[in-house]
Amino acid sequence: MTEKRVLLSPLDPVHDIGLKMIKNALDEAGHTTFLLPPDVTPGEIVEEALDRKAEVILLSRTLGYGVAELLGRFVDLVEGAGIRHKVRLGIGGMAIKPEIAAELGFDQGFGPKTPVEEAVAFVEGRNYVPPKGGKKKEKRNLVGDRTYAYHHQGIRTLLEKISEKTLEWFDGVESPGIRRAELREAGLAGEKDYLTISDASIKDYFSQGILPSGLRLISPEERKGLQDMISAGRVENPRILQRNPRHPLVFIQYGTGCPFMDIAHIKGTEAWGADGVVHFDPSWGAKTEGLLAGLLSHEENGSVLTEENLELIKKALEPSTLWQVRAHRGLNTPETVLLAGEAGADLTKINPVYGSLGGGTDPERLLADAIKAMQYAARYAMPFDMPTNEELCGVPAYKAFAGMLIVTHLGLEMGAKPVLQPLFCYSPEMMLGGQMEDNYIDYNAAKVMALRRIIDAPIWAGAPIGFLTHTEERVQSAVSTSFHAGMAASLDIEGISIASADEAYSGGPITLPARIDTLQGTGEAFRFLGSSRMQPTSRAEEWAEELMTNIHGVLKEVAENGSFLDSLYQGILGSQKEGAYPGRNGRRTVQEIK
Amino acid sequence: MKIVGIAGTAKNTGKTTTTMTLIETACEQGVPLAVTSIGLDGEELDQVTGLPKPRLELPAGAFLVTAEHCISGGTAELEVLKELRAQTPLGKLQLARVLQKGRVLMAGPNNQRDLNEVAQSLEGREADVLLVDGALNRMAPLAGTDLFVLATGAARSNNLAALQRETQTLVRVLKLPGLPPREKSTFSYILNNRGIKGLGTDSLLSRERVERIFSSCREVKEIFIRGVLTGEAFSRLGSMINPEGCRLIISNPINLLLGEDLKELDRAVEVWQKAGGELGVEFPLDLRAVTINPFFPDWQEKGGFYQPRYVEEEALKRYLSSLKVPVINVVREGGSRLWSTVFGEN
Repeated sequence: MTEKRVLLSPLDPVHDIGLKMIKNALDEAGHTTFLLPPDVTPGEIVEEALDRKAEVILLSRTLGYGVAELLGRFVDLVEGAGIRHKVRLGIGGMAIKPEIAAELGFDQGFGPKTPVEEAVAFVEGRNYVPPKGGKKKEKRNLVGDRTYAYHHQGIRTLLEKISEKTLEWFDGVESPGIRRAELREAGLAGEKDYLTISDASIKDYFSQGILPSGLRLISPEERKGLQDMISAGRVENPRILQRNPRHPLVFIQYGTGCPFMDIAHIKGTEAWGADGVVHFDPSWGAKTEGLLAGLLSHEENGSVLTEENLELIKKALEPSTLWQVRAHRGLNTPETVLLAGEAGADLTKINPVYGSLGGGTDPERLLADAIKAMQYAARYAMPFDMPTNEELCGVPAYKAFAGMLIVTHLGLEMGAKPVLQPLFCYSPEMMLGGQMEDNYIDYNAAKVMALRRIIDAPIWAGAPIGFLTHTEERVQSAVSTSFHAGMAASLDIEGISIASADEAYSGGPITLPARIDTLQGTGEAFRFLGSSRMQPTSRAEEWAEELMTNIHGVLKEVAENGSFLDSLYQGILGSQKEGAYPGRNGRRTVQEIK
Repeated sequence: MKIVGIAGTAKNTGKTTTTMTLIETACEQGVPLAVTSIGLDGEELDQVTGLPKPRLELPAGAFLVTAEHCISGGTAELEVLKELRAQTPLGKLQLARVLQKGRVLMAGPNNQRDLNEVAQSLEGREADVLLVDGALNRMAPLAGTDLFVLATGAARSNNLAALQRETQTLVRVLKLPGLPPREKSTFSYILNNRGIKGLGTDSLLSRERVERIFSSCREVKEIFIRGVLTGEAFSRLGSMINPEGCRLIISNPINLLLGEDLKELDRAVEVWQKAGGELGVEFPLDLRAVTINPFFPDWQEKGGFYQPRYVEEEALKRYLSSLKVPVINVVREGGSRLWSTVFGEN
């Protein structure tokens, strides 16, 4: 490299920081630089360039009407002075892009966020090649180095006792859900035996090709369009929102029913920094015995669970994206986890407590199916999270957590990796009890502190964070998500699910720009905090202790009852008075194995 | 091949409309042509104001020189014939031919030397005319063109009296006569009784520079300036030396127009010539016409956007009719008048 003489001139008094940074880099690289003060005329710059025999002139200036002419005259002056062919001209500024640089007559334009190295390369007459490798996004493991060691031995003993009894019960029962999963494993999905234990709508499809209303098969042309969309929509450099490894992974949910729309949302959010995507299926899917097949479009919310639909989504994902297929609440739980595992999903969702107390499925049926599903999750090495959305029905957090911990222990017994999912929400319990009157931090922090003191397990706050704090106003929603994300980062938790800024009140499909709002907000929260933390007040500590005491109390009650299942019906893990109603779908379908 | 430079006094003064009108007329008359731009032309919206821009459409058979990244930016089907050496922020320049007519996006040479390369690349090809569309108020790359058109209008100033004064100055300078320097020189010099002496600089940009150089001269026979002479420097020069009988020669007229203050330049020319000084250029320009455009973008403080507005066309024409050069409202008067004015016998 030959040393260059470079004149730098900030035509704009307040926008010279970029030039100063470039000057430092050029000095370091051994070039001779002359930084002019702001507020000089084009004539003065050219005089300086002549006197100092400059080989490169770099200007910075924000554009506006009239400014373009000023810069145009400067370029003309350089030419008129007879040095245009000896001097290379660069212009930087907020509105600058290559098209504007061409119009102004410069040799190169540097827009906002141009790396200093690019300007140095221009000075040195080299092509700038952005660095590769250093910042490439890689798929992260949600479980991390959590050991699942219990810190609370009293709770551990109770969970062992409850689990033992529950698994004893499980060994003696079977259900249509379990049976169908086994038939699917044997390659018999959709065959006679499978259809005998499926609902009429599933039978009609497989035997007569009649689809339930609102569903249709994707045409061959559409299939081609989807392939084209996937190949054209690759995200070169997915954004990394986290500033350090402590910051949580960020998940979004998709499930518009339309594969085109799902892929558009997945690709858009991947580009803007989502680390993971969660597949949402239609709500009727949870109430239907059996799964459909084929590449299907659904005209309402929820993307139908079929092998072909999942295969398509898998193809659309970037290698760095974590993919969760949820299975937590319906009559096809074991089959769904099996499908997800076969399709290459990274994560699944299983929680028989929420699924039966808030999700509408009979507790007995869902508990049997969920344990089977955990075996599949273990086989496919898919960690599963346990949403505690029964809190949103009105169940107090400590009861929801007691249930979640029982499921955690069952999962561990099955060899799976459970992920705790406390809600970061303004729940009915909080509204009635006033714990969030002052702030949203203390109680959410208390939840995480309590769980951490019980077990060293990964935590994924959900779902989405800030539930019931969002309004119809997009800025408010994005800011609320952003603060909750900051809180999650402060609490060292492993993952968060975020809503779009129009999710709570969209009144229809949510939009990609509104998803970008919250991804940007989350990124800003991580940028803002870095390795610092939000500080809860001393109330968090008090509430964490209270939560632990109450969780212990509930588990004791379940252990004394002697049956986890019976406890679900009895309301020990959430009563009807609190808003938890044992579901009825699939009631009396569990049979003892003869 | 005739090279026509279409320069403007500001953005939105009608350069591209003038260029487009010449293209259409060339097409009608069957004149084979080539087109390029010293900035960026043919984009849908203005890069600065966000207002719609006239689109550039080329007929089949026309040649086009544009940057690599603009080749696929239009609807015309192009065949790239050659890559040139010249580099722009949008990639290297390419010489292309239009196979099927359509819109083009054009970013061409940003300086005179690169424009020369463009002209050379067209040698031996079937093009009688090379139209060079200007950019903003930039003129310097067009200093070597054979025929020159100046576009001005309300976008430069919607104060018509001020626009009239300024355009008079521009026309006066752009029409300066050729005056061959006595010495064939590659540097700026002063010639007096003691002989020739280099100025030590090609350009006189500031008052201070003039004072340093001319502190001990009073009587000078000839001054040759290869680079720029600004109005400010000219004005000081006229007061330091005796203009009477002195030949002041600038390399080309555009080099007189690059200072900040055109009014000061006008006064300096006036003073110099009245005091008996001669003023001319080594390479004169052939200014054929001034085209006028009533449009101007009006900044709306409240909404933070530009509103398209117009001055009264008749008034604009009336104010500028006193110029000693044909004045044409291209949109009203049509292409044939423009064509015959630009290419007709002078």
